Amino acid sequence: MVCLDPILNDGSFTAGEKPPATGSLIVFENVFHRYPGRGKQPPTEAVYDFSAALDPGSLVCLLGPAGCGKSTVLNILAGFEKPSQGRVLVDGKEVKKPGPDRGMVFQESNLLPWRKVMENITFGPDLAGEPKKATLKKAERFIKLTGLSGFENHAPYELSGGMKQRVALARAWISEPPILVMDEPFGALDAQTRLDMQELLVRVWEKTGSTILFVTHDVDEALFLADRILIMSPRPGTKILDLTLPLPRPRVYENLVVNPQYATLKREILLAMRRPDYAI
Amino acid sequence: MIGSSVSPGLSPGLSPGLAVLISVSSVLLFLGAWYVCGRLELLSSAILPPPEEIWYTTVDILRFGYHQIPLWKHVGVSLLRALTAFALAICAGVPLGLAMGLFPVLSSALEPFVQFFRPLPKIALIPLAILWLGIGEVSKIFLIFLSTLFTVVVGSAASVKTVSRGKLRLGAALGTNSWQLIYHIILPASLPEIFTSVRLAIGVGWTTLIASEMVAADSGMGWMVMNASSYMRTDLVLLGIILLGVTGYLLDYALVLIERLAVPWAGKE
Ligand SMILES: Nc1ncnc2c1ncn2[C@@H]1O[C@H](COP(=O)(O)OP(=O)(O)OP(=O)(O)O)[C@@H](O)[C@H]1O
Ligand SMILES: [Mg+2]
Repeated sequence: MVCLDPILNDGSFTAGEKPPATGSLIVFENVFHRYPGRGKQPPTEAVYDFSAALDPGSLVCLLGPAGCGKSTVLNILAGFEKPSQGRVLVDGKEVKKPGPDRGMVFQESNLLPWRKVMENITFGPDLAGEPKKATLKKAERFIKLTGLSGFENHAPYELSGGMKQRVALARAWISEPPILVMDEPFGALDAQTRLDMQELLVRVWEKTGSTILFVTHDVDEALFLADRILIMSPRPGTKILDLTLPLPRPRVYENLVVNPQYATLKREILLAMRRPDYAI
Repeated sequence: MIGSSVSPGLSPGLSPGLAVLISVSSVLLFLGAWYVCGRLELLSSAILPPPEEIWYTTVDILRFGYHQIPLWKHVGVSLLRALTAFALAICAGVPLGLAMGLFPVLSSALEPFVQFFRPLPKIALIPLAILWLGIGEVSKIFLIFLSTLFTVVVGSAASVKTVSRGKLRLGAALGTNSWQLIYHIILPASLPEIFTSVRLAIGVGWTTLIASEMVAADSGMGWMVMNASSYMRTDLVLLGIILLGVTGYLLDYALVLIERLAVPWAGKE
């Protein structure tokens, strides 16, 4: 590993290395994923020897170019896909199937159009058979927090894209899962809304203390949100850089962009993304 | 402009009032042309009676009935047969189709039968229906039922496949068990498609009405058409055709209204 700055690379380990397995909430152990090709088409190597260990309570961003296998890594953690090799441990137990301990926020909002906004948010607790009254109270808190007051009884198709995404966030947050898995949830939002949502995410994360794995291909978003950034190479995706951000919190975006540390980190990331071989 | 209203959902489309106005005018225009053809004696009235003759026939039939049976009874009898068959076909076909969509084993087991019967002309089954079920109402309802059933089954089975992977994954991530997944995600998500297939099926079933009323009937719109044709009463044949068409149209419209109430989100995602 070529290091521009030693402090940027602490906690990193390169492909093939055994990840530390103790004290981590989520552990990816040499995960490979290959999608079988259809008919005569060759199979797609999506993820190649991906390893990482995430501390409980951390907010980790997975950063990489389009099609590099970020969603695949998330889907394996969520239990939607089985790795073709390697395994993922959550709390020391191997992931076999999806479960409510890992809240999901998808790239699309995936709201249920036959449920009103409020009913979408309470869907998880309703399924778990939790008492209606307590659920409604919690839901109201998240409605307020996400700025959806007044839209409780709207249908999802009566909302803007940004509002839909906020409903999806509230739906994932209401159950306060120990792990939140987020796949480019703000990818389709305008810059203004996106900043609001990022700040909201950090606020809720600080309050709930959940562990978040957040996928993005936006370097600034990763730098604003993360404790730690994992950077993936183009497909087949493997980890090429593992940065622990020394940026203090609370972070204010306007101040962050003129912070010299921020500039150095961004340069490091951009270099790694443009020259994957250079970083490894 | 035609060019701007080609793509559904993209252009604002016509206002409802204008749309109705255009439809009504086009029907009036058609009737006018038909009337003029009659006036100019372009066609003999045995081949195509002019609209006013059909009007007189209608008034006559309304007063005296056809074969001593009032017109509303002919319409009512046909509707009763068809609606009974539709209700039975929907009650049996939707659950069966959904089950086939959900369980591949069931689908593989039933698929050959469904695909055999669905395109089969139901008229071919008339002798068997009479043999097994007699010449009463049951065999008539049975024929309409069969022709509706298989379209409903195929459509409902296919509707399960249209549930997006995202919604299924959402359900799984929130910890649904199998029944919750079916009840809270798959069923409501398939509903718009199920409605479409029911509309199609009822269209198919309605066309079987005449075939079913060929089974020793003595009333009904289909029977009226067949009976009138054997007396060369083209005016009555046309009246029957108009009644069959309008009733079918109204049935479909009723379904559209129910669909709007039941699945207001259809096509809005
Ligand atoms: N279900 C699938 N079947 C076959 N190939 C797939 C499937 N899903 C993803 N792939 C392939 O795997 C590779 C990685 O896809 P993935 O969705 O993980 O990328 P990504 O990093 O999330 O991209 P993006 O930023 O565009 O969302 C791609 O080349 C894609 O073509
Ligand atoms: Mg993706």
